[in-house]
Formats: sequence, C-alpha cells, structure tokens
Amino acid sequence: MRDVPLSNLERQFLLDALEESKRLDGRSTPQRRPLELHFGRVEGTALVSVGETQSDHASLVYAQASASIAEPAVSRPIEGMLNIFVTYCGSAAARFADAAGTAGGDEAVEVTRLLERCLKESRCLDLESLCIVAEEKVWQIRLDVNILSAAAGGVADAASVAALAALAHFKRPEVTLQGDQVTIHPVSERDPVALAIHHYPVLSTFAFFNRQKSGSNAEKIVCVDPTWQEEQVMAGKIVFGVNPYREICTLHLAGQLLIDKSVVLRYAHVASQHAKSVVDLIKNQLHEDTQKRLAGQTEEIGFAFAFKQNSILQNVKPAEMVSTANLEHV
Amino acid sequence: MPAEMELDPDNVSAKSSPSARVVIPGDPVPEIPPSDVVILGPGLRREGPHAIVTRPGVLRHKPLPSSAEKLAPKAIYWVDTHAKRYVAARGEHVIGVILAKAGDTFRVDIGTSEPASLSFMAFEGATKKNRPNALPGDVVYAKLLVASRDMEPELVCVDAYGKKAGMGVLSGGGFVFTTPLHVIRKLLSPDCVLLKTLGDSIPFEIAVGMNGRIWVRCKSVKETISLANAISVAEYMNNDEIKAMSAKLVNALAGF
Repeated sequence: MRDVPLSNLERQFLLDALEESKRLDGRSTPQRRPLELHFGRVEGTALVSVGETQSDHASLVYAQASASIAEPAVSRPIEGMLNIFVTYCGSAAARFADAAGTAGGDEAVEVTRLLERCLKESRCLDLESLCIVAEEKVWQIRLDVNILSAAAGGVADAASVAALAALAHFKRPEVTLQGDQVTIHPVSERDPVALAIHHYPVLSTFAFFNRQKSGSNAEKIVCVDPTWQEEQVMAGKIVFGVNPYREICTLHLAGQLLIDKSVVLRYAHVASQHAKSVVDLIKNQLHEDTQKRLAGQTEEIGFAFAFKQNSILQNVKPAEMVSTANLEHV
Repeated sequence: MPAEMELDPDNVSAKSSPSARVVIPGDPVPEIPPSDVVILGPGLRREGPHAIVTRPGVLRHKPLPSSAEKLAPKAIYWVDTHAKRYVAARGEHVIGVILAKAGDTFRVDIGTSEPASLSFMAFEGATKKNRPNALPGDVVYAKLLVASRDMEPELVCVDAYGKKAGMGVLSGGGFVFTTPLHVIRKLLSPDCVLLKTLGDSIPFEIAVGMNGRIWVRCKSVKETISLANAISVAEYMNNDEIKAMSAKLVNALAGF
C-alpha cells in the first residue's frame, strides 16, 4: 500500500508558512514535540511516544534489551557485543502495510545505521565489563527496536531515546567465577546487575529549507524535530548524536545541502541541550521505577499502569441507564 | 429522569414512533411499514422484503413530499455514522491527488482502497489535441461517475452539460486537510452556521470533498491555518458554540 501522497499544494503551503516561521502543527521552528517515556514490567523494555499520545500524529517506538552468552569476536576477545535490530510494525504507516513494506526499505536502513553509529560506534556501553571468560564467553546484548507508529516522523529521535532507556533499564544476570568454574546466577538467587553506560548520546534531527525569495546564499530556515510532511519537503537534514557533555558522537547529513561549519556547531549545542533533558527524563523515570520495585509496588510498574493514567476509565461513575430519547443533537 | 431503554428489539415497534434510535449492524428496521415505498439511504440495505442495518449509528428518517404517482416514495430512512474511511458513492464531489498519468487517464488518489481514474477528456474544453495541464501531485476537485464495489472508481471534472461547474485542478495556493466524514456532512448541512459565520469576517474560498478532504484558501497563511483549525475543532460543537468560537477566532486574528 502507499501513503497518501503529499500534493504540490501542500508542499507549497508548507514552504510559504515556513517563510513566516509558522509550522502546520502550531509549533515554533525551534520547538520539539513533547516526549513521553514509560518503562515496562520486564527489565529492559521502554516505550517512547513523541507528539500527542494515541493519535494519528504521534510516533511510537518500543525498545527491548536482552542478553545471551556467546563467543567474542576474534579481533576483540575481551569485549562483549551489542547488536541493534530495527523493525517496522505493519501498522506503523500505510507504506509498511504489506510484506514488502515491513522490511522497511531505505527508512529502516537509515534508522538502523543511525542507531548503530550513535550507540555502538560511540562506545557508550562499556563492553569490557560484559566479558565473562576472555576469548570464550561474553555477554551479547541484543537491542530490538520496534517502530510501532511512524506516521508523524521523528522516528530516529524517538528510537534513540527508547534504545537508551531500554539499555539503562536492563539488568543482566550476575556471574561469579571460581577458578575455572563460571556460575550464572538465576534471578531468584542473586539480584541482576545493570549495564555500565559511560555516556548517553541522543539523536536530534534538524531539517533545512531553502528560502524561496532570496538567493541560495541566504540563510536557510531550520526546523527542529520535523514531522513527516516537513521531511518530504525539506532540502536536507542534519542528524546529531550528542551527549549532555556536548560531545558529538554522530553526525549525519542527508539531502542537497551546503552547510557552514558554524551552523554545525550552533545546532550541536541545541542538540546537546535536548540530550540533557532526555537524560534527565530517563534518569527520573528510572529512579521512580526502581523505587516502586524496591517498595514492592508491583501493581504500579509496567505499561498497563502507565496507560491507565491516561485513560478516561480513571474517572469512576456508578452505572446508570443512558436515555436515547433525545438524539436530535448528536 | 431518563426512561429505561428496553433491550428487547421485538418491542421497539410498540413504542410510540421514536424519531431516532441507536442501531448496530444486523438490526431489523420495524419502523418501516412493509406496505410503503421508501428510499433506503446510507447504512441500510434491502434483504428480500425487509430492510437491515449495515452500519452502526443513529437511525433517522424524513418524510418526503407526497406526490400523485402511485409508487412515489413516502419517506427516506438512513443511518448517521461516524467514520473516517471513505467508500466511493456515485454523484459525490471529492478532492483527489493525481498520482500518475496512465495512457489517456490520470490515476487519482481519493482515499478509497483503489485509486480512481480520471480521463483527460473529462475536463471542460478538452480535446485530443488540447490536453489539460495537470501534473502528478496536483489536487483536483471532481465528481464520481462510477463507484461500485466491484470496479475502480471513475471521476469526471465536468457536469452533464460539459461545463466545469467549479471542478478541475485546484490552484493558486491554499491548504488541504483531512477530517472525519461526519464533519463533512455537518459542514454541508443547511443547519450548520460554521461556514456562514466564518465567511462574514474572513474572506475565504473552500472546496469540500465528501471523502473527508477539505481545501481552503485565504489571503494569508495565518488565516488559512486558523480556518483549517476552526473547521477541525467544530466537530462536536453546536451552533451557539460555533458562533462563540468564530468570534474568538476573528478577534485573535485581528490581534486583540
């Protein structure tokens, strides 16, 4: 199936509106959409939504971290491994609805590579701490990122937050060594151990649009956190992977764009502020989750509880018969 | 106090002719006297001598002006539903986006499961030599000529007299947005004051497609976006609320 195509009228209108610094959803150009993060009951699961929750205009990403034991790579015998797999759910958008669509195509490859560069190549996860027996056994962390809703754009940004949150939330079984004997303790015997994360790089997307009237040397219009329509119309984009210490871990340029280095530095700074707020969010949510687990409040952890907060079923009213006598004003 | 609603469908006809009631697919329609000739509107289908509900919603009816003819229909019955997905129906005006050219026709997306076809000749003043200048990506306002379950829908941009009658490629700017289908029906009903009230203060041009798409154009981008938002939020408002909302909108646009 194909998505509804963006008509020429809409493209032109979007560009005209951007000339006046107006965006279609009412945001200002440097404004990001609200981000919500929830942890699941199982350790290592995280759900991130960008935009108004549970509407057509929200992006939803679910990430899950799990661990298994494997032989290390020959070139890196004392390091564990991190593998990232990105899949698009069939209902993520009309273009993913059929079998050819769930492979994801170019979009999926782009998001997978961005996440790999941001999380793997930045070495944010301490892989040496995942070694059990050198050259023989190491922990292999598998990160599954499922894009549940991609209709609103901003998938890469949401996916990076979900992936980081899942890694931060995950706990692997405790391992003890006695001489040659390796014991992996089940959860019932010993508490599982969190992963060691050095720093938290977060992806941040900036879309660039050419001004229509002035020449191509004029300053371009920049939007933070573009929606899907804005991504279809943009001249190019930069995706930064920055951590709160303003270290750039990933830099990805796409589209037909000529950019000055001062532009890169300026927006890296903006991206780093976003990274800081994301890391604060992850740490706060993680802290709340840990407190609830320690206090034994198992009813209040997990996705079911988080969604109940948003449900209208929270408001209780005694059952009563509804009259359908007066339906003229429906 | 609300009266007890009886859940036993067999007793519905015993109630003193309700003007409207909630129905779900599969319900029989005992309100229709079996001897009368009636028109079955959307949501109802004929099964032998009876009518059966096919879409969930509120069942309504309207008596038609009586005529001397023997088989003149006495009333029209239909079901008001809330839906977002459009099902093509003949004679309706829709807004489509041209996907591609295929031989002598355009393939146009109107939100149905299949794209519709629009022939080059179905424009005002079109001949074999004089082709319409419409490109993929353009927005068209057209009428459904053929719309059945078994065939791909067909569109035309001319009326029966060969005139464009407001149809054709929509150009000159403007903004296209989508709303649920019941909002469209509400907008077009003569009882709704939304377009009239807004038009008193903001000059605009509008094309309403029965497939849930609306095209608006105002003098400035700000007015266009405000108008689009005003139509979207008027979904559940009654006429008084609409008037109040329009007044607030006009004040906001004027800068107060």
